[in-house]
Amino acid sequence: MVYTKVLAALAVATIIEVIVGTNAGAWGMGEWTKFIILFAIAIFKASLIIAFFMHVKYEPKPLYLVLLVFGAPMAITLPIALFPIFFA
Amino acid sequence: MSDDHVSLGAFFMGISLFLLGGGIKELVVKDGNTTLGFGLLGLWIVSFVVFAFMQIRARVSSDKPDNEGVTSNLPKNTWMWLFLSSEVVFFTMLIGLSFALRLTVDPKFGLTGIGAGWLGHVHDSLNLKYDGWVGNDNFAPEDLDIILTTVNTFLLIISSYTMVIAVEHAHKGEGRKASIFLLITAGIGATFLGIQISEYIALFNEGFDPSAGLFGATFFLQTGFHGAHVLVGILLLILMAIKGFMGGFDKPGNNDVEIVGLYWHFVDLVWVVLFTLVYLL
Repeated sequence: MVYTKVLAALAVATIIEVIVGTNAGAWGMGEWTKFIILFAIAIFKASLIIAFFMHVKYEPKPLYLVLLVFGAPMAITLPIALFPIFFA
Repeated sequence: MSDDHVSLGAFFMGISLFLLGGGIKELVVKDGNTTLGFGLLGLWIVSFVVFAFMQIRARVSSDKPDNEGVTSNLPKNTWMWLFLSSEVVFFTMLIGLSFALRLTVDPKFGLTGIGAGWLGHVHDSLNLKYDGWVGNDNFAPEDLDIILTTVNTFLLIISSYTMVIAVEHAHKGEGRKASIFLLITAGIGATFLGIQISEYIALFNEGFDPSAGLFGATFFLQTGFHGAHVLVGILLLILMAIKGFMGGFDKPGNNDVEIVGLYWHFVDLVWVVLFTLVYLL
């Protein structure tokens, strides 16, 4: 069943994430490299959940749905949330 | 369902929300009565369950389909997706702002020169105490129990899996099987919440609380709001399971479980992001 495969993929991704997260310092990995790797894995996991568990893959227009429900709200709010970074 | 049920339900929901507001006020306000706060929250849960149970019984006992008299050209689950998009706004602000603050004050990321001045200025102008990222109590991400939280992450992923199976059974009209998997999902969710509460208690005992610097504040804000969403999800799952055991999903094509499922997967989704940004970085 496809859901079992998704569960396995999520579990493997989580294990990789925890290994990288707890050993990055010992491997001499920089904070930003660690951030990019971990965030990429998180986006991969989130995409699996949205596509398969939330059945978006089987909706008539999956791309529009993702853009309307996740893309547009984040495009509007994320710049506001990240505002403090750009102030000296 | 007759009309008088609807107005009575709205009345109960109003009282229920009043209890929720009163409970949160007592817990949040300085010198608030914590016992009264938790008592009111408990009453909120009880009244919420009673109200929802009344609605479910009215619907299950009715011969008419749930969407009787409702005509719509909108795609499936439109209103649930709309609600979830508002949740996306909420959690993007919460997590995004917390991470932005971290980038500007946590020395690890090397952006401190940019934001510390800005944040310090805000604190000075508001006459607030500014303790920096870890605060006087030195509460940092390194103090969190990664192993325990990894177990929690696996619990939520597995609960999403059992939720999907419940949705499959509900679509096929196998109400009893759907209900059993809904209860399993609720049980895993409750275990998650129990582990999170034990984590909070352990942190409080070490003196780490929301006032312990910016990390403490953002940590409890983000995980606390996520935990509250899990609690609501567990209530919804239990109510759906009751509806299933009462025969509510015995006809194929019922969409209720799928809608609750969307909410539950969204809560799982938020945890995936939180686990990475709060615990692992």
